[in-house]
This record gives sequence, structure tokens and C-alpha cells, in this order.
Amino acid sequence: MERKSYLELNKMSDEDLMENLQNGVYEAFDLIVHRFKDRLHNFIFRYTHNSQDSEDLVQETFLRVYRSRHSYQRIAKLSTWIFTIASNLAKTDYKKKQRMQTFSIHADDADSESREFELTDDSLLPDEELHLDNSIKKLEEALMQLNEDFREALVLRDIQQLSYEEISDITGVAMGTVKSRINRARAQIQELIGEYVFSETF
Amino acid sequence: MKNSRPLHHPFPDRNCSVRKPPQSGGYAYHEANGHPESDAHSQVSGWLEHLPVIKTSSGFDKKMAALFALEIERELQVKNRSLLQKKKGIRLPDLISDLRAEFQ
Repeated sequence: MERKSYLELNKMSDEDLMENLQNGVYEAFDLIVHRFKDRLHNFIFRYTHNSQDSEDLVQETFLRVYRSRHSYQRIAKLSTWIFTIASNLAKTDYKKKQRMQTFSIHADDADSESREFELTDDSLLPDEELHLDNSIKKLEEALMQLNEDFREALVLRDIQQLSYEEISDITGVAMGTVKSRINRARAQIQELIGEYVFSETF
Repeated sequence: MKNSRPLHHPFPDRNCSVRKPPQSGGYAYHEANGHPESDAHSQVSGWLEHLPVIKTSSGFDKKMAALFALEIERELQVKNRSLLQKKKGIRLPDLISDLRAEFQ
């Protein structure tokens, strides 16, 4: 294959980059990493809620992308394929950690006030900023309380902005099921956060 | 869920950016269109869309490049071993790292 410059590669679609990687153009891998690293990290972080674990999983995802590069076929969008790999890795890791877990969001289910995430520090932030911070925190907590399938569908749709079809491909369930999970997940989030989140800020 | 207690910033040590919500109108419109359940869902969707993007750290690229270099090296060693398995009589100096070139 004719050697392409970084600039030429940079103009290519994700799928063309992958084709170049399949043909031995290592520079294409750098660009794929550059394009997907933050999206993947933002996605995986919703499982781990730990930055270092998320980065490790993103790195593992990219290594698997490279190792499995010849199994990728252009019938699927590259993003769908990569998110499928990331999702599988994140779920496996999440389940492993669940088995080992001695920590939970609720220190005691009977006492909803004793949440480990609810730490006090109200010293310096202006009211509006504080409210936004609280809202984000509430939303993140509510996301963590959803069951795994609901959270995955919701994160892929509302945070990653993927289409229903892509989510269906990534999760391996029918599109109707995807839509149902997303609707139910949104309803649960609404119920969990009530009127508080963003009501004044926005 | 009631809330009266202040919280830490959710991502105090992360390289994250907040996607700003629309300045006005978006959610009010949903509230006014007469479909309470879909309004609520639209609101949730809007909130989630504007959650901060949690990005990788500044050292990520270097770590990834190092891992990728190791991966290529590992892949090359596997190919070399495979080639030597097929051509058992061959003895080559250690200096040659990529045997494929020698047999092309």
C-alpha cells in the first residue's frame, strides 16, 4: 500500500483509517486512539467511576482493537465495533469488581442520608455553581443506581449520542428492547432525582 | 429524593469539561407541550447530554504509545517464532529482528 502522510490519514473516515491499519499503516492506530480515547473514557467511567480503572480499560480496548483488526469488516461503523469491545470489557470488569466489592454507594440502605458520596464542603462556591455541582453529582449517583443494562443503553444514547441502531448492535439486543430500556431508564432517573436537579440552574 | 446537603465537586482531580446547557427555552418548551411523561424524559436526556465529559489524563497518549510499541514487538516475536518453526534448519543472528524481510 502506498505510504500516506499523517495529514492525509487525518482527513480519512474512521473506517478508512481502520482499513489502513489492517494494511499495516501503524500511524492509523494513533489517529484512531486520538479520535476515540475521550469518548471511550467518558463511556467506561460510567461503569467504573474511577479514572485510573477507566484509563486502563480504554488502553485494553485499543489493544484489542489492534489485535482484532483483521476481524473488523466495513459493514459496521468503526465506532460501533469499538464501543462493543469497550462495553464487553467494562461489563466484565464491573462484574469482577461487584464480586469483590466491599464498598457500596449506600453505606447502609436503611439510611439514605449516610451516602459515602455525600461529603460536605460548602465553603467557597457561589450558589449557582454549587447547585450545578450538586445537580451533576445527583445525576451521576442516579445513573449508578440503574441496573447495568439500563445504564448502558442510557449512557450510549444520551451521553454518547449514538443511534438506536448502533446501540442495538453494541448491546446485541433488539431495537425495541433498546428503546424500552432507555425510556425506563429515563423514568427511573427522573424518579430518583425528583425536582432538584438543574431546576434553578437551567 | 431530597437534598439539602452540599457535595464535593464530582470530578475534583479530573481533566473534564462541562458541556454547557442551552441558555434558555429548551426545557421550558418541553414542559409546555402537554406530554408530562415525554417531557420528563426529554429533560433527563438533556441533563445527561450536558454532563461533564470525563477525559483521559495528559499522560494517556504516552502510556498508550508505549503499550502499542510493546504490542508490535510481541507480534513480531510471534511471527519470527512461527517462521523459524517452518524453516527449522535456519540459524540467524539475533540482530535481525524482522525475519520477514529476509525471506521476501
